[in-house]
Amino acid sequence: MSIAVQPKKPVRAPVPVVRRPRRRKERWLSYVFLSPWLIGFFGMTLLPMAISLYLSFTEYDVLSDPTWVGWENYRDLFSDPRYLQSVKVTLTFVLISVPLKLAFALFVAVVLNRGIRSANTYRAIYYLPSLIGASVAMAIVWRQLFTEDGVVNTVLRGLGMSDPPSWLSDPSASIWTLIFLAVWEFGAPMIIFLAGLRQVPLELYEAARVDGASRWMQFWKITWPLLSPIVLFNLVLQVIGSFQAFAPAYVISGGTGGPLDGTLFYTLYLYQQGWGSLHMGYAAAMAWVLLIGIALLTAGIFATSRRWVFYAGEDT
Amino acid sequence: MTAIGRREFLGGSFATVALAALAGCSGGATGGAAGGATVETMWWGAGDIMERTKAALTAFEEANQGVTVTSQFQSFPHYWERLTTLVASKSLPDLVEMNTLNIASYARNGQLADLSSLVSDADLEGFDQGQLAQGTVDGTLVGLSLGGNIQAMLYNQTAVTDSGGGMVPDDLTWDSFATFTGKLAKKLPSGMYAVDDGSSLFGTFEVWVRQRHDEAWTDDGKLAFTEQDVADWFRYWADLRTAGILVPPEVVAEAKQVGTNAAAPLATGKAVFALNWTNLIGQFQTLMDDTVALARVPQGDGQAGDWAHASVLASIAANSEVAQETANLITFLLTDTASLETLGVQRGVPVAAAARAELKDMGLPEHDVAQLDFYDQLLPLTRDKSVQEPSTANDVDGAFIRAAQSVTLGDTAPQAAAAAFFDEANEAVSA
Repeated sequence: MSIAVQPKKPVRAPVPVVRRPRRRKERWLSYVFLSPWLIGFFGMTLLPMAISLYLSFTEYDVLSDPTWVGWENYRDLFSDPRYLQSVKVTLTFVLISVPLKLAFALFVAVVLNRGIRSANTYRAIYYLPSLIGASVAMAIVWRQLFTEDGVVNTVLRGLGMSDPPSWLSDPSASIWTLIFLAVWEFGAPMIIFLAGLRQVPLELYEAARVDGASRWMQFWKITWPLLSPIVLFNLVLQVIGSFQAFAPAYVISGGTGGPLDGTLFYTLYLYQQGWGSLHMGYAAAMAWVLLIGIALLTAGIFATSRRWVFYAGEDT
Repeated sequence: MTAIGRREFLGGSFATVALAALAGCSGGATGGAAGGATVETMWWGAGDIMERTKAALTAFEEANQGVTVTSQFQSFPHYWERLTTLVASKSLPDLVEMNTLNIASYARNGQLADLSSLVSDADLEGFDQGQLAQGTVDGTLVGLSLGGNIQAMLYNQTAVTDSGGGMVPDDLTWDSFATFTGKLAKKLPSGMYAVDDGSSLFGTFEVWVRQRHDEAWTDDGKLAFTEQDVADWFRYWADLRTAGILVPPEVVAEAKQVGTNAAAPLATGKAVFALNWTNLIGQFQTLMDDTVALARVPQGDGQAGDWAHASVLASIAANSEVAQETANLITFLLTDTASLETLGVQRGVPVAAAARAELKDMGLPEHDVAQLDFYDQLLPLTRDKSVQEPSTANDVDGAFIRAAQSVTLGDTAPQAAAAAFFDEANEAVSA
């Protein structure tokens, strides 16, 4: 590829005249450097989204051309029992796993923030599951732990439970294997909580101690309010992430969402409809409903945040 | 002279790289080395089956100087994902694997080449007519079976012998199967059950249906069986379950979740009998110390329900520029003696009787010979299929599994489960 370079003709031109084309060139160059992102954003995000929006109003099996069906896909969703089951499973998962995970992450962060010996090592250890937790290999190991004769049930039997749950084959118990897996990956919110805890001025605790506040009081009156923006941030991030959970559910149920649709996550059903049955239009409609659902829920969380999130420097 | 500064140079190189990357994304491979042809192939399967296929492709290259064969291998579900995206970008490889479930929809949408002018009659000599029909869509030959299999029962012969209950009878009916396994169940060591729960297997249910009716599907892809057939099927299995003959539901469900052959009750020594395709005997035998043998699916009152099935079909993409070379490759895989030996019987047995006879003398492992012998004995007794299964059969299969599980895990009565399945299946095939 050849590059045309503008000859800088007026050699002795006054400074501003020289600078202007140079600035234009720099702008051009900046787009070149931005191009990987621009191509990614327009070519691999915006364009596919636009196509997906179009497809959600069509019947499309990839093999033949899409046919326009209007709102039919969207209407069908709400009379599809498996769709409603997938919504129920996903909401259950989000409502249980996110609070548990955040509570656990906060608890560990508070403990690790206490300057205990080799805290850094523990931080690394506790963060590890977040790095590997969503991987396929981990989901396979996880499934092995929860089999009839797996580690979990062996321990439960050892503790005197005569008839531990059939984690993988009981439709109502199987979701718990995925909830535990999600909670176990508490590392990412924990690191963010730790960073937040470091921002809390130590003088506040000193002053509180002087006033005779218990540790519990210190937590509720100082740590929690000052940490609440971080909690909001983690909450939003985790809610969005949990709705989109896919790989563990796919691996643990072998792609079926079974037993009896007990682990039929929203994204898993979307995948089944799209790639299993080649109902791409229906799957696209599901994706858009999910997007709108997550957007509404996130907006809802932000709306409630006025009541419980405290920003330093604001009057409450 | 125009001097190019470091920035311009970097910027320019970057754009070039970006453009090259873009071009790479859209590039369907064409042509190949000057003078030669490149045949692109795509397969599902891994491990042994992949190694064997690659070896056979190399043998073809050696026998056809100037032709290069490239190959990609995917797991079964990912194979179909990949294939659909390649269809969308109109860049199917030259040779694609099809199954009886999908071949009709690919053919009807113009994705597959007509093979009749590319393959000679001599190549198809002795070819199983039923399997030729399974590769023929609306009168056009679009797929050639790479291996035949039949629905059958795999069983742990060692366990049967050890139980002292005598041999497995040749002509089992559904009733005598229940009696035989009922006696067997009482003699088995604890933790071992007589039969793996087959209530959720649509393939075997299809045999059951074809024993009662002509076919499971109508010509236009609707259900050709009744709700009562389904209810009877679920009830038959429920009775075996009550009699303590079947592997317990939670063990079966767990094995299904894991989904591998290694986790299947037959392989883990928890079941003696399991319904499956004949070509699976090799995979199970390599997983087990005990000897695995084959028996025919129990018979009903009327006609035969089993059929010789094209386990895998080889097809050629409609827009292939090397269709003749690809067809030559397919016939090579089907007829070349060395290639037959290399491929073995993992995808089922060779479709031509002569090729099967040839293969038997090549010193294959015992279980492979057992598969070939069993197939040859059973073939004359089977009844060819006369209709293509619709592509919606996949959804019907899913509904069938859920209905069967609602009986085993969810305490639903067989009749109610059959009714729920029938509604769901009817909706799936009419969509």
